[in-house]
Amino acid sequence: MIALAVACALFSLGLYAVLSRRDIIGVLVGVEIMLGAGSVLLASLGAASGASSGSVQAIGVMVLLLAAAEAAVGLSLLLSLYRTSGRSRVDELSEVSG
Amino acid sequence: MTLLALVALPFVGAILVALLGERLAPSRFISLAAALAEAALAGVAIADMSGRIVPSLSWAPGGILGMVPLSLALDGLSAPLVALTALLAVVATLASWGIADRPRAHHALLLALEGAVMCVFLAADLVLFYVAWEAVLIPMYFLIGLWGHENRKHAATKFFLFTFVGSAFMLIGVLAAISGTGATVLSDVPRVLTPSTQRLVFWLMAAGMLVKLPAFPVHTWLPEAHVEAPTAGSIMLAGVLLKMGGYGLMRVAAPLCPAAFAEAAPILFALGAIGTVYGALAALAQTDLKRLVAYSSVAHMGFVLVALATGTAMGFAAAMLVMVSHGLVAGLAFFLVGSLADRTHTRHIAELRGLGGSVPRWSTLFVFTSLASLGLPALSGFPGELMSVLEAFKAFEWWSVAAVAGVLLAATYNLRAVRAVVYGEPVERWASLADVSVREMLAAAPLVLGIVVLGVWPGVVTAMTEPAVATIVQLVQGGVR
Amino acid sequence: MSVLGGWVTDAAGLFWLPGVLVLSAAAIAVLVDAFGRTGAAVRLVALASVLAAGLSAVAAWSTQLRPAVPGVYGGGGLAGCAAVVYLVAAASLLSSLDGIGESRRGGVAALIGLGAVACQVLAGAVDLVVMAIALETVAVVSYGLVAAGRGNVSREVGMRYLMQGSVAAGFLVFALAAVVGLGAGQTGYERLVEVVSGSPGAAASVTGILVLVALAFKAGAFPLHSWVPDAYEVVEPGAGVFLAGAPKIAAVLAVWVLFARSVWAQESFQNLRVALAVMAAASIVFGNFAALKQRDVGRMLGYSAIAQVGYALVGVVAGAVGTPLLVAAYAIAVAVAFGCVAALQAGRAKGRSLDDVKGIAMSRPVLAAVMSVAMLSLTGIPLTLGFLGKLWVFYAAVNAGWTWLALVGAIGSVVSFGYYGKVIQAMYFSEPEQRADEVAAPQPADEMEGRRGRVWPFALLAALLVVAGTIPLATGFEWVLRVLSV
Repeated sequence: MIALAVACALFSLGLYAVLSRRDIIGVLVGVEIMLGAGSVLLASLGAASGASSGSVQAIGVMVLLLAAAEAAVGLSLLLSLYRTSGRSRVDELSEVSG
Repeated sequence: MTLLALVALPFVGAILVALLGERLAPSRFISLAAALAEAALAGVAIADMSGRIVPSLSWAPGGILGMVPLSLALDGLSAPLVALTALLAVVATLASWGIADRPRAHHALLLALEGAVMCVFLAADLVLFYVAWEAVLIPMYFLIGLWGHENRKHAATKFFLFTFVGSAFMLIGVLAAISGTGATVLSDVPRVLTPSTQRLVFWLMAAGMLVKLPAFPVHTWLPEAHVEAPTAGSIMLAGVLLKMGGYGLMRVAAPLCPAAFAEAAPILFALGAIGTVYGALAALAQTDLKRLVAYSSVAHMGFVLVALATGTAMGFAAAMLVMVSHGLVAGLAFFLVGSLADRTHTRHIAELRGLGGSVPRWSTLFVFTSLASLGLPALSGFPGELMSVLEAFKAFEWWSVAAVAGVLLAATYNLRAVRAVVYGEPVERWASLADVSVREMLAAAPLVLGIVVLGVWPGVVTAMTEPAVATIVQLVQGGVR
Repeated sequence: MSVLGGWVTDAAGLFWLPGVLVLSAAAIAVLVDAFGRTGAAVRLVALASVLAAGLSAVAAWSTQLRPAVPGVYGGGGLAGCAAVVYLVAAASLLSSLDGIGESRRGGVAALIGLGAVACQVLAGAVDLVVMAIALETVAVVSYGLVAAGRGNVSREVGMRYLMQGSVAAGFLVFALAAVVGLGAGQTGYERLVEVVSGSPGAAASVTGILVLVALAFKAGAFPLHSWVPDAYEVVEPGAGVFLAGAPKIAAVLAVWVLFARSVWAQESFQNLRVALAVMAAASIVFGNFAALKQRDVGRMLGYSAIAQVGYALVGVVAGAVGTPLLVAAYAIAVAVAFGCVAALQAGRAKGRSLDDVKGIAMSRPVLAAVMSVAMLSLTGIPLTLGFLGKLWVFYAAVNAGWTWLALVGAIGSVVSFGYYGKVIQAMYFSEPEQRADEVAAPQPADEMEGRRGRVWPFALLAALLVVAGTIPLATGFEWVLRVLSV
C-alpha cells in the first residue's frame, strides 16, 4: 500500500517536472523519475502478487534498459542541438509552428 | 463472354491508344475504331439477349469476403442504356476529332470512361456496381480538368467532390444491404431487410443516385461541369453519366427496399416535379447557350424522377424512355453547341444572332434538337413525357400539374433559344462561318435517326424493357415473392 | 541437409530469417560505413530488405496466423504486413537520401533496418513485455530518423518528439507494472486478459487505457497526435518513406492483436471499445479537416496520417479482418508519396509546398502519374488497394453494428479528396511556376539529369497498388485475404 503511494507520488513528481521545467535536461530528468516510479511499482506489486520472481526481475531489468536507451539518445540529441544552435530550453524549440 | 468483352474492349482500346497513338496512326483513328467495334459488339450482345428477365444481384454466402465481384449480366433494363453508351461514345470520338493538345491521353481517357460506364450498366454484383460507379469519376475528372474551358479546375473539383459525397453514402448503403441480407439471390431473399434497415439503406443509396441524376437540390454541380467540359466530355456526361442515377434507382435501390421506396415516393415525386420547373425556369434565364442546355438536362431528368416515383411498370418504362430520349437529344445538343463554340469562340446567346443565314445546316439541326427537347409529338421526347405525366396523374393525382407545367415551360426556353440564335438579326461576324462538315453530319446522323425512330415507334425500347421492368416492379410492389 | 532445409522452411524459420537477415545487414552496414563506403552500406541493407520482403511474402502465402517465436505471432496477414514493412524500408533506402549528410547515411540505413525488424516484432507481439521492448525500439529509431534531416529544424523537432515519446514510455512502464500486479506476473496476452478481467473493473480499465495511450501515441491518433505533423514536415523525404508507414503498421497491428483478438471478447472491457471508437472518429474528423488548410505537402501528409490511423482504428473497434490490408495499403501509398517528394526535391534545397509541384505533369509525367496513384489510393478511390482496405474495414464496421462509425469514415474519405486532390490539381491543371533563381541561372541539362531522384522503386509500388486493387475484382478476394488479413 505504502509502496503504491510512493510510486504514484514519484510518478506525479516526474510528470510535474516534465510539464513545468523549462530546460530540456530537466524534462529528461523528469522522464527518468517517471520511469523510476514505474520500477518501484513493479518491485512492490511483483512482490505482493506472488508472481514468479524471475519474470518480475526480468521486466525490471528491461525497464532499466529502456530508461538508459532513452537517456542516451535524448542526451546525445540535446548535445548536438546545443552545439549547433546553443539552445537548451524548451521554449526555444520554436522553429516549426505547432 | 460477350459481356466481358463489352466491358474490356474500351479499356484495351484505351491502352492501345496510349501506346500506339500518334506513332502508328493518329489516336483518333484508333479510338474511332475501338468505339465502332464496341458498338458492333453491343449490337451483337443485345440481339443475343432475347428477353431475359432481370438477373439477380448476387453476392456469395460468405459475405463480402468470399465473393468474386466480376459478375455481368445484360437484360432489358440495361440494354437500351448499353446501346446508348456505345452510340454516344462513337459520337464523342468524332466530336473530339480536332483535339490537338495531348490527343493520346484525351482519347484514351474517353475510351476508359466508356468502359467504366459500360461496367456500371452491366454489373450484376453490388460491389462491382459500386466500383464501376466510382471508377467513372476518374477519367471524367481528368477530361474536364485538362481539356476544359476557363473555369475547368473549379468545375472538375466540384464535380468530383459532389459525386464522391453521394457515392460515399451509397457505399455505406451497399455495405448495409450486403450485411443485412447476406443472401445469394435477389429474387428469393430468405431474409428481407427490416423496414428500418430498408429506410437506412434506401436513403443512403438514393443519396448517391440522386446526386448523379441530378435531382434538385443536389444538382448544382451540373451546370458548371457541363459548361466547362470539352465537347466530348459534355456529350458523355449528359448523354450517359446522368442515366446512371436513374438506372441505379430502378435496378438497385427500389427492389432492395420496396417498403422504403413506397414511403419515399412522394418525396421523390416532389423533387422531380420541382426539378422540371426549376430547370426550365433557370434555362429561360441563361445567357450562355451551353448553360441553357445544361439546365434543360436538369429539367428532363426531373421527368425521369417523376416517372420513377410512381413505382409502376408503365412508370419505369416511361422513365427508361425519357432517359434514352434525353441521351440522344442532349448528346446532339451538346455536339452542336460544342462545334459552334469551337468556331465562334463564344457561347453568349446575345452574340450568336441570326445564324440561320450563315450556317443553314447547323441551324436546321439545332431547330430539330430543340423541337425534340421540348417534346414535339413524333420525336423522341414525346412518348416518354406523355407516359410519365399519365402515370403521375394515376399515382399522385392533381400534384402532377407541376410536371405538366414543366412540359409547358420546356417549350418556352427551347423556342426562345431558337428564336435568338437562328432567327435574330444577322451579324457581320458570322457571315463567313464554316457550316457543319461532313464528319459532323456523320456523327449527328445516327442521333437524328434515333430521335425520329424513338418518337414514331417507342415500342423499340419498351419491348426490350417490358419483361425486365415487370419483374422489378413485382419486387417493388409485392415485396418478397 | 534436408533436416536443415525442412527446419528453415517451417514457418518459424521463415519468420526469424528475414529479421536476422536485415539485422545482420544493418550491423555490417555500420561497420562498412565506418570505413567510408557509405553507398555500399545503404545498398547492403536495401538488398537485405528486399530479400526479407520476399521471404515474408512467401511466409504470408503459405502459413496461417500462428505463434512463430515465443511471444510473437507470425504468418498469414502478419507476415504480409511484415513484407510490406521490409518493402517500404527497401524503397526508402533506394530513394535519394539527399538531405541526410553523407557521413550519416550509413547510420540511417542501419536505423531503418533495425526499425523494420522492430516493426515486424511489434506487429506480432502477443506478450506485453515483448510489445514494450519493440515499441521502444521503434520509438528510438523514429527519434533518430526525424532528427537526421537537414538543418536545425530536424534536431528541434526530433527533440520535441523524443520528450513526448519518453513521457508515453513512462506511462507504458507504469502500466506494465500495474499489469504485473493485477495479472500475477502473467504477461502473455491470452492469460493476461483472462486474469485482468477478473479483477476490479476500475483497475482493469485504467491499465487498459494506459497501454492504449502508449500505443496510440506511437500510432499518432487523436488526441496524442501532436508530434505527427511536425515530424512529417521536417523529416527527410527519403527517410519519411519508411517513417510514415512502417511504424503505423506496427502500432495499429499491436493494438489489433491486443484488443481485437483478446480484449473485446471480455465483457468488462466494452467501455474501452466505445472509447476507442470515439478516438477513431475524432482522429478521422480532426485529421481530415486540419489537412485541408495545409500548403506544405509533408505537413498535409502528417495530418492526413492522423485520419488514416482513425480509419484503421475503426477496423480495430469492429474486429475487422481487413485492418492489416488498410494499413498496409496506407503505408505503401504514403511511401510512394514521400518517394515522389524525395525525387522531386533531389538537388534542390527548397521546401515542398504545393507551389513546388505545380505543372510537374508536363516535365516529369511518370512522377506525376505515380504521385496521382498514391493520392487516389489514400483517398480510397476504387481500383486501388486503398479502396479495398476501406471496403473491408467499413463492411466489418457495418456488420458489427458500428454503422455510424463507417459513415464517419466514408465522409472523411470524401473530405480527404479536398487535399489529396489539390496535389493532383497542382500537378496537372496548373502551370509550372518560374522561380527566380532558376530563371537567372538555369542548370546545365546533364547535371539536372544526374541529380534527379529515383522514381522507379515508387513506380513499382504504385503499380502494385493498382494491380492489387484491380485484379481481385475479377478473380475474387481470396488471394489478397490470404496475404493481408488476420
